[in-house]
Amino acid sequence: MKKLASKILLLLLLLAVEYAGLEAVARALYPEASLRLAAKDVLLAQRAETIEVLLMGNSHAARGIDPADLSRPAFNLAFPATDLYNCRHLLARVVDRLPRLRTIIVNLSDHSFAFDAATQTPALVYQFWEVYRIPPRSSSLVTPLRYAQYLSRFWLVRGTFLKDFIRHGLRRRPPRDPILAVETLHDDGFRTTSLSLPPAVMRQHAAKRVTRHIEFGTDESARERNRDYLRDFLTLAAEHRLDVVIVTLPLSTSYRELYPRELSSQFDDDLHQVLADLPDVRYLDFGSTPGLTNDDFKDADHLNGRGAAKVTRLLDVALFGDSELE
Amino acid sequence: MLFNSAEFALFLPCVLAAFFATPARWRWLILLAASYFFYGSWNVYYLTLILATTGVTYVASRAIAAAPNLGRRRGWLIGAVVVNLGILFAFKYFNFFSASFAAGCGLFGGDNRPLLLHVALPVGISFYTFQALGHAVDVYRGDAEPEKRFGIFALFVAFFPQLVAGPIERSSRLLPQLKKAVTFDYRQASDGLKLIAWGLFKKVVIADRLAVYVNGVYGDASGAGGAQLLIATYFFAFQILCDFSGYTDIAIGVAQMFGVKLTQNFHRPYFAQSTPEFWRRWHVTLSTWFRDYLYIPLGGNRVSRSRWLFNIVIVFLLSGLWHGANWTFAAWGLWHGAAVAVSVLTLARREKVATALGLSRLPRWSAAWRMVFTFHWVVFGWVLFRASSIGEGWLIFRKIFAGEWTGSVTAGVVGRFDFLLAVALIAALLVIEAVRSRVRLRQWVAAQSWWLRWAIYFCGATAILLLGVFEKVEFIYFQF
Repeated sequence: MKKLASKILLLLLLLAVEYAGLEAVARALYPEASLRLAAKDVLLAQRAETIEVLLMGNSHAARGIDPADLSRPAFNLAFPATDLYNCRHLLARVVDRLPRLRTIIVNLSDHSFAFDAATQTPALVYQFWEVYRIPPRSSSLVTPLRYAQYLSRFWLVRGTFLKDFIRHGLRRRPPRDPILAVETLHDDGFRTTSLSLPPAVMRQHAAKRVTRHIEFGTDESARERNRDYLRDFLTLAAEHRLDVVIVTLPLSTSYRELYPRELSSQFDDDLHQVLADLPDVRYLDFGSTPGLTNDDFKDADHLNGRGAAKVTRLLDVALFGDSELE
Repeated sequence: MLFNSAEFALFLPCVLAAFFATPARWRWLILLAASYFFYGSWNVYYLTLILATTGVTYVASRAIAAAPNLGRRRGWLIGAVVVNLGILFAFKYFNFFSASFAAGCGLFGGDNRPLLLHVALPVGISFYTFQALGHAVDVYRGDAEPEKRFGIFALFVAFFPQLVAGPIERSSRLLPQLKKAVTFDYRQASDGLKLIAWGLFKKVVIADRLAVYVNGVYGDASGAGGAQLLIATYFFAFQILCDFSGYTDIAIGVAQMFGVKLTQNFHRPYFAQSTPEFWRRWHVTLSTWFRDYLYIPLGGNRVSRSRWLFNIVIVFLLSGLWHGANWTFAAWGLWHGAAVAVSVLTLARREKVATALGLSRLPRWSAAWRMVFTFHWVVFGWVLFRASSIGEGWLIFRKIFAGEWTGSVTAGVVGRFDFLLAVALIAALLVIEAVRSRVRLRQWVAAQSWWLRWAIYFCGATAILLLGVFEKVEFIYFQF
């Protein structure tokens, strides 16, 4: 048994050396991903003194609301896979850093009340810990091994590492996803692209996304917890005398056709339960904004730069239209 | 706990070390505890189901052996069958039949609201239920002795390497191995590790890579074109082969490290030259289970021709339903049942035609044609297996055969590189399988010089690292 164990250890040692080499190559090939929450936090710190409007929420808001089209100084702190738990804690972490903050715009998606980021995308959850020390909601799902994988650049880009290495050799290149590669992170935290998908690919993507979102489930206890997190979020904002505006953002036609109506109704019920006791909180539904086409979407459920500009202008009129006249 | 998880990579060496560090007479206890821990990591409450199956079958088997007459023996056997299949029915089939019954009532204007049990399907319930039931029947027939020690019998039902997806072992083969005092055998353990590595390669590099395309296309069958669906169907054929045979290789390799030899479940099934032969090569332990415990008791082929055909069709229908509670699986079973029935019915005529056409003088071409035809019959059968409903299966057939071939072959689901890589991996698998029919690869590797062996191991591990999909994708057969 010792003989076998020593041979296995030797092989593992060789693989560890190889992994270190791959890690070094990956770090040389891929620049520090501007996709990270840390990148947004740096930008937030630079603008902290001027920000009056803070945009929060998940990837729909991260790509769907452009602070540049708002008539007040704004910053987009929305981030992919931000669930209501992280949203609430994120507000607590940043609110005291923004002295001029007056308004918070937070987006909710149809799956927001069923979503627990820790069960779906631990790699993203780690970022909330790394940058803001927000502990994972479910510690059992976040293991040291997964955290180690997250820290490894090679592991993060492993899906396309070989392809990129074959195609480009050792030249540095932008992040792996072709759409992400052309996305730009602006100084105001907005990440955007001008790309859109052909109709057939859009349908495929919609099916994939809807399936994924349905998998979040309908568990009542999970929804109850998320409703409580939203209540906490709104209470915290009220304590800081901040106006909160909840928005839902447009989805592509392909996505809307596939998404089950009963889940949309469930979302409405959950939201109304929370807002019933909070008449001061405004809710703006841009889910069925007219005049948007496939060309306004980056993919099935995210706006691209063009779509974001259209929706943000509507949002600006709805929020600040009167003050502009004054 | 999945075989392709970091948890299992920690679990296995710990159990192995504890097993060999324990005195031989107590080792079964380590394996039993490990097996229950392994199963409990999915759902600890469902351990009660395994315990119920174990307890009922243990008591019934002992009672069958001790019964003074045939009537009593039969009574105990029927009791074991009813309880075991009752558990299986309640957890796996009740909702399906209830929903189907309600839908039927709805057609005639009745109440179409089904009575549903809100329970999750226990992992591997069909496997361990059939293994336990097989033991009771063997004891009834006098083919096996009832196990006296409850702990050993519990280990027979729950032995973790094959607990959740087989191979379905016979007690006469597995029980003696579980009782045997095992000493660590370097060669056997090393061979087991190689098998584990090969199984892991098939699972994470081939099956899970193909799954990305298959899931993407089948996930939106109505939006996909015929060409994409055809390719996805071919891909699924290799995905399910690599998924299931990969699991089996890992199971056999793990068991081998504990000194237990499990039954081979796959013998290059896509090289079969007829559907009956395919079933002698695919999921062998299930096919032989149905043969020995259902087909032969029904009379097998020693009955009238019409009854023989009925026996074939009913066995395949039930075999299909064994895989899942959905009409798609029943249709898949009938698809194969029909092929086997037609195959045996037309055998003599086909041989006459082949002789008349002179094909018997071209045995290689004839064999190649039979292989290609059988392969495609099996591949199109997978459409029914993979589709979520009969309607979707029909839609896919229509799109493939009606020439609705639109859209790019990558379907926007994967990039061109990943698509070509998937095709290359299938080609590599076929070459390896073809070589394996002539050369025993593991023995060949073992006979090479140390540096070549190490180069092969290192390259294999690197391939898994670079090309593997590590998203914790469950093995397809776990749901059965």
